[in-house]
Amino acid sequence: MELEPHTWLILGKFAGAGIALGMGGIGAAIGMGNAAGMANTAIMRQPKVQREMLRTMLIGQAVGEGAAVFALVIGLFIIVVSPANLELIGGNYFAALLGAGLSIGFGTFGSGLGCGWPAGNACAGFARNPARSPKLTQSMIIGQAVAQSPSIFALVVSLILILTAKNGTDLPTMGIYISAGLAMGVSALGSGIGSGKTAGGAVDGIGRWPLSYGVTLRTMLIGQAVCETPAIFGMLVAFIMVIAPGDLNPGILGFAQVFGAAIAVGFGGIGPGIGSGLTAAQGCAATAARPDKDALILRTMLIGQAVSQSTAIYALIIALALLYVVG
Amino acid sequence: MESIGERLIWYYVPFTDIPIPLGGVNILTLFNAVLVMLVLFGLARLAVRKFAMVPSRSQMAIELYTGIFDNLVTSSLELDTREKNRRFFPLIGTLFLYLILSNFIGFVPTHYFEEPTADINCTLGLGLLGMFIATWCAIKTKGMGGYVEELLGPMWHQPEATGGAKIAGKLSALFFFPLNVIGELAKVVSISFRLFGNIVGGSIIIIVVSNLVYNFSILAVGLDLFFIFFVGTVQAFVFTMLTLTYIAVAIK
Repeated sequence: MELEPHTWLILGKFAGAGIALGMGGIGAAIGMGNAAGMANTAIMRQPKVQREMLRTMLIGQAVGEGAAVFALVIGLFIIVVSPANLELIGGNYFAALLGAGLSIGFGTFGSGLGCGWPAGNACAGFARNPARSPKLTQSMIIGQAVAQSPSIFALVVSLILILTAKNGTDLPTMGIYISAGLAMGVSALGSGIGSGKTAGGAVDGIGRWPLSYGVTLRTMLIGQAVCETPAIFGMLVAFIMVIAPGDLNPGILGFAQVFGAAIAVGFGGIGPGIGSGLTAAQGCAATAARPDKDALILRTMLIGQAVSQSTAIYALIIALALLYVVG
Repeated sequence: MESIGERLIWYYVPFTDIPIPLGGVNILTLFNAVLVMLVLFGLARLAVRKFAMVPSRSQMAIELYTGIFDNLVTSSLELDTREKNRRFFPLIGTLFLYLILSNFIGFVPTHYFEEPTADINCTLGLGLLGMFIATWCAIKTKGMGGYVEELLGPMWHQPEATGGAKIAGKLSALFFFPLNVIGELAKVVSISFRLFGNIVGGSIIIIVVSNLVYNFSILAVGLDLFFIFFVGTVQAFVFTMLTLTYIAVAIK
């Protein structure tokens, strides 16, 4: 494709910023709507504390919007910042901006969606027991902050893509940039939803059994950490693609090679992320109910999550095989 | 923006021509890691200088910390005696202090103080250390045979099975063994990349936002406080708890 450098730059800005904000906004909007809905139900149960409830809901929504704010930061960065030597820009820079948009857009989708559950469950717990609101707010904020780790990984990858983009136009390099963004973004989607669901389960449990606060929080942190493993595999593949892509085929074959690897590790990570989130959410609720059996519950939870994660490991192996073995 | 990924690498031993193996050493990471250790050592010396029946404030803090982590280790490992649980307390307690101070060191607003945990080599080393200890404990409690048998999958050891079922069980190891070995390696990757990604991500967000807001830098300071102190503490705790959990799963 023969296009003017300026056209490539503008095309990249349109595509990257559009996808970043478009996709990133969806998740946060759904999640925050979910939180507000649960807050309404909670106010119905306990109308006397509606003022404090509204405050809890707004804090939860503000922290949960953080994911969309990351997308906003990268979108603004794509729009505002241009490289120094404009005449050397080619298709690679366009691909890097598009990849950055894919990474942050899909990556913040999951976290934004997931952060709705802890906020909503904090309101529900508040209606059950208004005296426990500081513990609920604390656990909600910690859970949401950890659930936003996948979108922080996506932010790292998108910034690396924007800042290390090469000049010129060649299909394998374009493929690397787009695929790195896709691998990171899509694999972070499931992890974000899963770790948000975990935080939701933990906050729900703390709302019902406030005395098991500490031990539930510990189970939540470990469960969320395991949920984020697919996103970490996606980040690993994205780093490998950008830093050490190996001997890629020339032309369209090289593009297909990296794109296939990105599809494998990205979409392969959605299921394990959500699945181990479902496990961990139940594990947190169970720990809150029976804090004396926490080690047993944690062990069972980890074994179940490990089986769920094995499909993400298959996906990682296929992606690495596509990058290095298929020549 | 150029300060992202800036590295000060020594390729040779200073004042000589001897090359450092494995492509040099990142001296900033090394310097900051040693600095954290020295600060921790100094604080520990100060805190234990005079112990008394009526505790001073520093003694109070250190006793509180010791008590919390002793409880954490005991309730996670659930070994039969308290002494056996306490064997792991120095590792876990020190790991958390080291990580939390490593994450906080980025708050010093000077050029050369950057988090050692923002270098993948540092976190990968800590992850490998934790995995090595977990594997070693597993071999020590179950024996080499028991450890390998666990890697061979759930269908390997079936005393009551005969004929075709037994052969099928042994053949299933061909499937489970590579999966379990890769699963163990994936644990190291995930634990170390999680810490690295969160710390690097925080510093990148701070740099990008301060670049975008120009003179209105109070926003960047607020983000700085959030990412360094809040995310740094949470991630240090997550890393420590995961190491402890890996050990607990390995010795069960």
